[in-house]
Amino acid sequence: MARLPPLVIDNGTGYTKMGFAGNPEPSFVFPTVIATHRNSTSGASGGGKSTVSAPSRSGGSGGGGPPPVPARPSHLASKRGIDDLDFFIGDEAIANSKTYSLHYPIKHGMVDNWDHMERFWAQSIFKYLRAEPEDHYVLLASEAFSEATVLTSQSLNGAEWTGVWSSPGCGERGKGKGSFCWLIRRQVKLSAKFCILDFRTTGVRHGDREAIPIEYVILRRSMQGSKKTVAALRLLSRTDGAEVSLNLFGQRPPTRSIFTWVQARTSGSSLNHLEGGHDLASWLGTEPPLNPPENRENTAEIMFESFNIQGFAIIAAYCTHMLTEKILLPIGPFARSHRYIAVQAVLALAASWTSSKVTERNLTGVVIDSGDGVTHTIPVADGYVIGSSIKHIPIAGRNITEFVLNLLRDRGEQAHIPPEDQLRVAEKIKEDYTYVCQDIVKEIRKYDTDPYKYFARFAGEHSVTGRKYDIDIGYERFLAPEIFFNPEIYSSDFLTPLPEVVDNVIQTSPIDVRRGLYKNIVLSGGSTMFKDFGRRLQRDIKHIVDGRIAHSEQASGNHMRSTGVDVNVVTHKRQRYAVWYGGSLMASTPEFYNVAHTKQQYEEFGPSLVRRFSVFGSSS
Amino acid sequence: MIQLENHNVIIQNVLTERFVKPGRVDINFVDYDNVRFHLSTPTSKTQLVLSMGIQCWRDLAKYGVNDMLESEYGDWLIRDGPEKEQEYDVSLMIDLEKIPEDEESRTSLIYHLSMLKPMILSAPFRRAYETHKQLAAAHSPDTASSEEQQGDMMIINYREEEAFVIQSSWDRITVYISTAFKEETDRVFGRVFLQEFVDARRLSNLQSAPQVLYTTREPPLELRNVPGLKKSDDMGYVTFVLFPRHFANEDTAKASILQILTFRNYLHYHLKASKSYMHSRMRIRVHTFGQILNRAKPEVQAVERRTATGRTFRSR
Repeated sequence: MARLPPLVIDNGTGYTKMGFAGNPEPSFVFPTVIATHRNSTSGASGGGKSTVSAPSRSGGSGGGGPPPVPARPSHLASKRGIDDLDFFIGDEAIANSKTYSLHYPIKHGMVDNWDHMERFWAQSIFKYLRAEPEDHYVLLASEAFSEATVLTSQSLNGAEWTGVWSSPGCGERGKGKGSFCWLIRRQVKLSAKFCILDFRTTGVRHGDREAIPIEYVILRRSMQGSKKTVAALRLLSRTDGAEVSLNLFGQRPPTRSIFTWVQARTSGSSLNHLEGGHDLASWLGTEPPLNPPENRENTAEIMFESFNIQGFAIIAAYCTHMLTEKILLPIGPFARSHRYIAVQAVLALAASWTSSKVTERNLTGVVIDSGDGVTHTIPVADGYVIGSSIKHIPIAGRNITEFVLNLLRDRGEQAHIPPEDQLRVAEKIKEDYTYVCQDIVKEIRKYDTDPYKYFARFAGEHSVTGRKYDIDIGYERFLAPEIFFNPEIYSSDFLTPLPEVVDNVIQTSPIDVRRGLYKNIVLSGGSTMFKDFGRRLQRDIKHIVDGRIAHSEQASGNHMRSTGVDVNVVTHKRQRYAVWYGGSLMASTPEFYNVAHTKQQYEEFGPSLVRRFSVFGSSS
Repeated sequence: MIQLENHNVIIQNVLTERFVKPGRVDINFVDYDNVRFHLSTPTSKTQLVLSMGIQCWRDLAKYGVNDMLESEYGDWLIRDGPEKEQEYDVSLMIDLEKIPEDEESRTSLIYHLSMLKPMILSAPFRRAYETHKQLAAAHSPDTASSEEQQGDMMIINYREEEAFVIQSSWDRITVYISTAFKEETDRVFGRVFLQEFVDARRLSNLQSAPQVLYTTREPPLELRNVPGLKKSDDMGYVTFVLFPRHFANEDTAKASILQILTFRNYLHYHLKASKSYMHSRMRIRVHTFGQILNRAKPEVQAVERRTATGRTFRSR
């Protein structure tokens, strides 16, 4: 019998895309949200509402509190409720949000609650895909489950690194130079003065909230014979996604005292003891370690133990496999730490081949992948990801929605919208009414002179009472996507416009590929779907590039003439679900079965299997 | 979600969308029991072709699935010919220019089409009902020998290694379902679960439910001579005995068929859901153990250390 197509699931922070391999589009796209029964955390109580999805069940047998002692000899059904089955996912969850409570199993690209995730998958597979998992392979194409600890170099400039704080203190004992250090050294040229001492993760309690995992790098600097330790810190608060960055020189390893430092940083207290550091052209930082290997192990456990699936792959660099014959196994140990991102980028590149604008199918280009949670800018040269130049931008779909809401609030429109619908309405406005303008000042003037022409009217309905309401949609139509181009109108932390980031990314890439990178800037993800987004981006980058060329021509005393650089932003049909599409392509090839982890292998090696990569089986 | 739905959600979604706005489509998808679907628009945007391939087509063909298709889907059915998709067993052509206008009949048409798979699988059950009717009519208490009064055994190998067998007799219809458990854990869960089924029937409010019997390893006596049944530790056999009241009128008959058809997947779904439940309990337990261990950590005594000059180190 023919093999059944693998399931391809992309669980994003915002939306889950899922379907079967070989199809051009996911069969289901719905919010990654699960609605569970109000008071059931461990499935203890019953209650009348639980019969919603259970026509066969005669009334909630459990009720609150301990179940009644059965008069007859027992059977399990009377002993415990079946609340663990009483939940909805996706759109149905939203629809039932009045009687159920909503949970988002994935937050900021990290799985937040594995119980919810497991149940989410169960219902995705059984109710929506209607596939017997025992018969299928599964491909998970999602940042939340694959591994990527990306080390990047960061420029030491204003917004990202507020200051370098120095205080004479005790030094850090030299700790072992683990493999991470090796990685760092490989990728980033450090100023010769510094050597890496340690690279580790710790957590601190932030008030009464959860511990904040922190990634930091400890560097040692030799100063005139006396050795002093410097600690570079980049705090990543996973609880609220805010990123606090801080460089600490000469402090003790920040275990307990970080909180104080964070406070100092956030309260804006004096971080003005600047010393050294400025001369560092490039600085180490760690990107959010979105996916510790434990996450993948958990995923494998759920997939194999709960669902007995046949085989399983988390989207990884080997996906590039199928894209061209040329790049069979080109991805050396270097790219291995970029597995997820590598793939997303390369897949997105391949997806762009559907565009008529793309004449030659090459694997060089910059991928701008903007989803709900975060935006990545990833340069790829001949299928290799240039890891040291990857940049992440903390502005994505969710922020745009928030910004729309802010604008509505500022104009007083928000008052007309019932509070529980506000986010939904803002999202709707974002998706249906916005566009990217070419000149923000002109656009505002246009709106001011003839508001009747440009203001749109949004008619909504209260989701409970059914009361109708109307709101005006004005400047947010073009201001919303504008935060990519002028982030200062939205955030005070992140101020670099997207075109500039892209230009930076290309400028930090090797010089011989830059031309190719400019020529092929590919968009991927839902937040790049705004009308004219590509045109504006192209124009702005072109502007920067032309400016630079003009400047250097002038600097050469007009002796040199440039032939100009071709800047081309590619938009294409598969842009929105580019990553899912890539996964679908990948999983429909016969190679997929060679690289996926099978049930037998799982039983042989256990969950640690997913730390191995079968494609690199010989080398790892 | 306690019970699985019968209809296919993808068919429903895509058709609902296309009925409003015709457009090109070409998707492959699956359903339970090794069923493959292909929904496409090979010629024009308004002509949707829905094809379905099912493993046990040959078995079903023996038991009158073609008649069933004629009667239920006759308007859309593509009979054998070049138009029919070769790798699939059934092809339906839905012409969007000929669909009803009003919302209600459209919805019911979509639902009907999304029920294609259960409808096809229900063909042998319908045959069994017929046989039962004939046998019951022919039955007289004098002829006591039971063999004459039993219909043929209809064996449908709906999955590899798994089959369901239907036999009708003059007073009942018996359905045997064999299922394979790929994992030790599943087998144990399955046994508990099915035992629950058997036990739950003893409750007073469930007396009208069909009788359920459950055996592992050894097939029930009636099935001993049936060819092609695998004997192994991994197999479980569930027997449902349907009495005339379970198929007395059209609606109950249909409902009983659908319940039995989803039974295998229902069972496996619940095994998986139980495992998920166990996992969440384990996670809670591990978490509480972790907390207990954390409490046992010795406190670090803060000793104030001074240098010779009397300065202190303070860790902040």
